[in-house]
Amino acid sequence: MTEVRITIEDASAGTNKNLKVIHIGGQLDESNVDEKIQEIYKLLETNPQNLYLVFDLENLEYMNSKSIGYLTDIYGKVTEGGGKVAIAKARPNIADILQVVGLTQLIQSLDSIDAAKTALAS
Amino acid sequence: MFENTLVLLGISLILAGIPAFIWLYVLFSKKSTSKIVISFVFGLGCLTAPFLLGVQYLWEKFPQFNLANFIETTIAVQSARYILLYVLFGAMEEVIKHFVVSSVDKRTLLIKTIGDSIRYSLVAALGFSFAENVLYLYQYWNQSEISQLIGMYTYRSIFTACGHMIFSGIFGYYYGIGKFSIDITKQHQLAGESSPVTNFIAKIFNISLSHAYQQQMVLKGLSIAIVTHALFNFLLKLNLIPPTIIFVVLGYIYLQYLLSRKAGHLILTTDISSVRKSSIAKNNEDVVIELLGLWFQEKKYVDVMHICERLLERDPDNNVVKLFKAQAMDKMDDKDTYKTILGTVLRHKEDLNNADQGVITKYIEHKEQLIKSQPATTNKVTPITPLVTIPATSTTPIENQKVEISKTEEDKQTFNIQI
Repeated sequence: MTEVRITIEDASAGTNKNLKVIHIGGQLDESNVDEKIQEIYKLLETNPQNLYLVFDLENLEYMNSKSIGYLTDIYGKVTEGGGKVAIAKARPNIADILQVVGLTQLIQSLDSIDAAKTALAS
Repeated sequence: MFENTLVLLGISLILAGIPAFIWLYVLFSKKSTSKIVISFVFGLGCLTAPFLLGVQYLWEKFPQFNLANFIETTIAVQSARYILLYVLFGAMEEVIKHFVVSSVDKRTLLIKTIGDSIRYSLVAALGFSFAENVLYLYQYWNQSEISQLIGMYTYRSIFTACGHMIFSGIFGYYYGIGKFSIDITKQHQLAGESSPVTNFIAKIFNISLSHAYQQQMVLKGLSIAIVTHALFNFLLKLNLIPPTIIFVVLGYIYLQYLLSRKAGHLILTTDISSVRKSSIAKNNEDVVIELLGLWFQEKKYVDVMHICERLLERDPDNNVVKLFKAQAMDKMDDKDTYKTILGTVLRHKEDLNNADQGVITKYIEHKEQLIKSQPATTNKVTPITPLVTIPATSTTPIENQKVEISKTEEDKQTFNIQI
């Protein structure tokens, strides 16, 4: 199994929003995506309404087609619950894929986590 | 009526030429296909009927090679014997007509789209039918009543010619699919469409899946052409004119359907030296194409079309992406556009937001453009301006809006969305 690290950080302090930063590092591929993505789905289950998510993709080297499908689905669920999603620090290869798929038209992609937090707060 | 052989031959040529010219005009008057190429394929098609007469002449000279004679003498059951004879002559005609198209294609890269394969097969078939009509008119001119001649001429000019075009056109369609089997097989694999027959052929003959698929398609096309041809001849033999006419009309409708498929218009063969370079890294492109396959399987055809649009801006000559886009459009054409969109991407009419309306309107405008421009640009898919992506679940509500979408000039419909 390829290595992937997903950590969820609570960044609500100082804001009046339920804001989480999800740091994803390594490679999201067929061998790990189904298992690892459940951590994010658990978060959605426990926070169904008004969840604000920043995906920190600085250390994400590769994501496969399935993980893009999951990202789209997560975006759908979060926005359905009145929340928002942003992406921060995506590498050029990841940003390129997200752009072609059209996700960057739906989800803001920003250069820093702070900028992403600010975008969600507005 | 005419004793002079040359005069009779001349009259036969002129009379047989009139329907052939009309058919060619109907098929190609609004197309940009080169008239020289059409004439060349038509000319070769004309040679196929005398060639078959030559084969039959040789059979008489060398009866040990006479396949018809072999069937007649070895098959005891009369019905089986007739069926085999019809199949034999149907097969001979279909193979020789197809040989014209495939041999010209191998030397000149004649066929660049599946639609090309169908059209040139139609031309070769018309050439065959023309030569056959000349021979019939020449043979029966002085032996038949004028009313019989007119009846035969009219029937052969319309239905027999049409029959030949249908058999060859169907074979041409499958030959075209087989020709582009590498891209089509890849697209099928990504879309999760696996054929046990193709897998079996590949395994048995130890060949690649695309090669196996090509062989399977050619064999399928040949089989359909032979069976329909044999059935047509059988109905004619029994003088069952109304069923023959219904048979031809249904075949013509089916052929029109095949010609209308979006994938058929795609230019899948391009000069390697003129292939435009992709501006997206191969690894990234592979991921996106895989996603196309996943979403195609999930019937998210609108999303597939959007991704294809963006991907083709970066890699304009990617045939797999072109096929995905064309198939997604075909899938949407198969059903009501709104129903398809509402059923796959958006759950309710209430989910439609302004961006969604834009997508739908643009799609229908594009369909309209295609319909209008089909006569002039059948070899090209009209580029669409990039569309706005539909979110998986849209949340922006719309206030009681009235969106007018014109499907065609004649058929305009108003779509009311009530909150």
